[in-house]
Amino acid sequence: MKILIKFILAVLVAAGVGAVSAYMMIEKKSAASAVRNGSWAINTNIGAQDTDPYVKAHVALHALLALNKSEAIYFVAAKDAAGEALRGGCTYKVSGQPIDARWWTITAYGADDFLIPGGEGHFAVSVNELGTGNFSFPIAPALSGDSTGLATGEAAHFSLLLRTYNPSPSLLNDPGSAALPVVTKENCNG
Amino acid sequence: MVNLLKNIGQWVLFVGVLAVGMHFATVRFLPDFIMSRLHDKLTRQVPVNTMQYPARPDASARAVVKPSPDLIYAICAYDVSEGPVRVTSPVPDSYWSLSAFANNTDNFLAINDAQAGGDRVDLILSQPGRKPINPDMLPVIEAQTPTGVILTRTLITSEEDFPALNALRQQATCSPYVDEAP
Repeated sequence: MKILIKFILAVLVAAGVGAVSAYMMIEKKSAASAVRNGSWAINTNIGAQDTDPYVKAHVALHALLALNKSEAIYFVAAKDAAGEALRGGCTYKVSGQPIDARWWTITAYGADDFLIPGGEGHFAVSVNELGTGNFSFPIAPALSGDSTGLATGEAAHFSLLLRTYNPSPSLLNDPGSAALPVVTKENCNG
Repeated sequence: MVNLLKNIGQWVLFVGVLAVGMHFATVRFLPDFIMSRLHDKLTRQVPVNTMQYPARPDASARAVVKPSPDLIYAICAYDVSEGPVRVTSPVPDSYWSLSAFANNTDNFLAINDAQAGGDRVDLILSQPGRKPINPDMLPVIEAQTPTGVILTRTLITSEEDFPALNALRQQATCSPYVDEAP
C-alpha cells in the first residue's frame, strides 16, 4: 500500500514538474528563437515542417492556424518602446511608416489571446484606414465610434499583433531591419 | 520498480526521470493534442469533411486564438483516412488564401488569390502516400497527416464589400471525393 502511494505521488509530482517545465521552456525557447525589432518579436519558423518542437508547441498555444512565412509574417509586441509591458489602463501612440507587404493590419489581443471585450469597432487598424503614407494612431481603453485606433477595454494587459500578408522579399529575408511601428506610452490611469 | 520506490534518493531519481519524460512528451504532443481538440470541436457541429462559415470575429469568438477581425473564415476539419477530400472555393479579387494544416500545426499548403490562377480553386486533398484516381484531373495535394484543418481567409476590404465577400466565402466547400474510375 505504501509503495502504491509512493508510486502515485511520484507520477503526480513528475507530471506537474514535467508539464510546468515544458510550458516555461516553450515560452523561453520560442522567445529566444525570435528575431527582435524594437518592441516587436518575429518568428519566421511558424508553420514550417522543420521547426523546433518548442516553437511548434508555442504556435499551438498562441498562434494556432498561423500561415508560414511565404504567405504571412507575424510581428508580436507585448512591450512599448521603453521596454515596459503594454497595460490596458494606459494610452499609447503608435507611429510608423508604410510596411512593405501587400496588405497589413495591427490587432490588439487580451492576455488570453482573444479580441478584447469592450473594443468593438476598434479591434484592429489596417492599411485600409491608415493609408499608404506615414501614420499614427492611439491605443486607449475607449475610443469614440468613428475614430481610428485600438481600444483595450478593461484588459489589464494586452499585446499587439502586426500581420503582414505577402511580405516583400526584403521584409521576408530581413524582418529584423524593417522599419516597424513604434509604440510610445503617453499616460496611465493609476 | 518496487525496490526503486523504497529509498527516498531513488524515489527522487525516479520522479526526475519521469518528469524529464513528461517534459518531452508534453512538448512533442501538445500541438497534436490542441489540433485534435479543435478537430473534435469542429466535428461536433457538422460532420467531418464539411465546410463551416464562422461568424465575423469579435470578442465572443473563442474557437481559435488570435482571430483576425479583418478577415472572414471558412473552416473544414478534414479526414482523408477513408479517402480523398475535394476542396473548392471561389476566389475574390481582393486578398484571399486557402491553407491546410496538419495535425501537428504544420502549414503544408497555402495558396492566395494571386497564385490561384483564376476565379476558382478546385483541388483534391489525398491521403499521405496514396495517389487518387482523379478522373476530373484536379490538382492533388498530399495531406501531411490523415486529419487536420483547411481554412480560407477572405479580407473584408470595406463594409460595403462585406455582403458580397461573405456570400463568396459561403460558396467554399469541402467534401469526400469519390475517386473510383467511371
